[in-house]
Amino acid sequence: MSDDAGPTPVANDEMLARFILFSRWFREDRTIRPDAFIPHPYPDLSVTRHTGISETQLWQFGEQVAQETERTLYGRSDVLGQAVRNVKLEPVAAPMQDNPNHVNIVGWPATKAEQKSFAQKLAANASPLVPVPQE
Amino acid sequence: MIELALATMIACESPTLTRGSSEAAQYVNSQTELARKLLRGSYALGWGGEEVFNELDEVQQECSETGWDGYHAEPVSPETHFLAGEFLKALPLGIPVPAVSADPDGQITLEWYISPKKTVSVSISGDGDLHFSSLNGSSSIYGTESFYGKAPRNILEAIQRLNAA
Repeated sequence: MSDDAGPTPVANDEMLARFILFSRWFREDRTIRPDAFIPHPYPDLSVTRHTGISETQLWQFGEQVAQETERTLYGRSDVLGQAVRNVKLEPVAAPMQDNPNHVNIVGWPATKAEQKSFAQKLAANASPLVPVPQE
Repeated sequence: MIELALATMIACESPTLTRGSSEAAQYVNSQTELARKLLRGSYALGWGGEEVFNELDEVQQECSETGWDGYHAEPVSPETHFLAGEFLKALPLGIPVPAVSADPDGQITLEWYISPKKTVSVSISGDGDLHFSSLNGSSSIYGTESFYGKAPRNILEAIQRLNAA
């Protein structure tokens, strides 16, 4: 998602994945708890854009994170670029060497209570957990 | 009916850590605490018994190391765990049982959930701050309260509104 002119800006209709590596960040009905969207370390929240890669490649980025930290990848939650902007946050392409599709969600308020409110709205508009496909 | 019961309990306010020091006051306090423990053991009263405290212990164990979320999460400290327990004990009987989780900054979260757009979440920090946020349809409120052994009224009211709607 980048060329010599720099990374392509995230469009409103782009889907962004937040990988879920903690079992308490999704509920029994598979909806996502706001805790999964709290930015830490502040001020960025890491997500991965779907655009330009296959579903398999997308999962590989999640597995990569899980392997590096020796955690279980439970799945991912997807949120549209538009939904991020609706809560006055901004998805900014931030390619990394091991994940060229990496995006930071920025613009978070400084106080924890307000961050929780933003995360609650983001979680309310995010997809339920998409489980890791069984091989 | 449940709404009325919750309102009554909130009006009576939750117990506080500040207690009388006379022998009679200490006896009343000990009997009250005993009664609360017995009531907490009853699912029939909607407390979920001691389960929520077990869940709290599990969260601390699961989140005791840096990076427990696969990213850069901070561990949940013993102080945070203790205060979350005290906050749970301070909730009036009849308040629905919350789900326990943790934030990546090491705070413990308690969540009351009806649907993704109807939820109240309280994060408890190790220094005794209660950061709360309520989403109830298109209405949202948030804020921070200090915890001095009593559940703040505005948090209880947010939970009450969630369950009343």
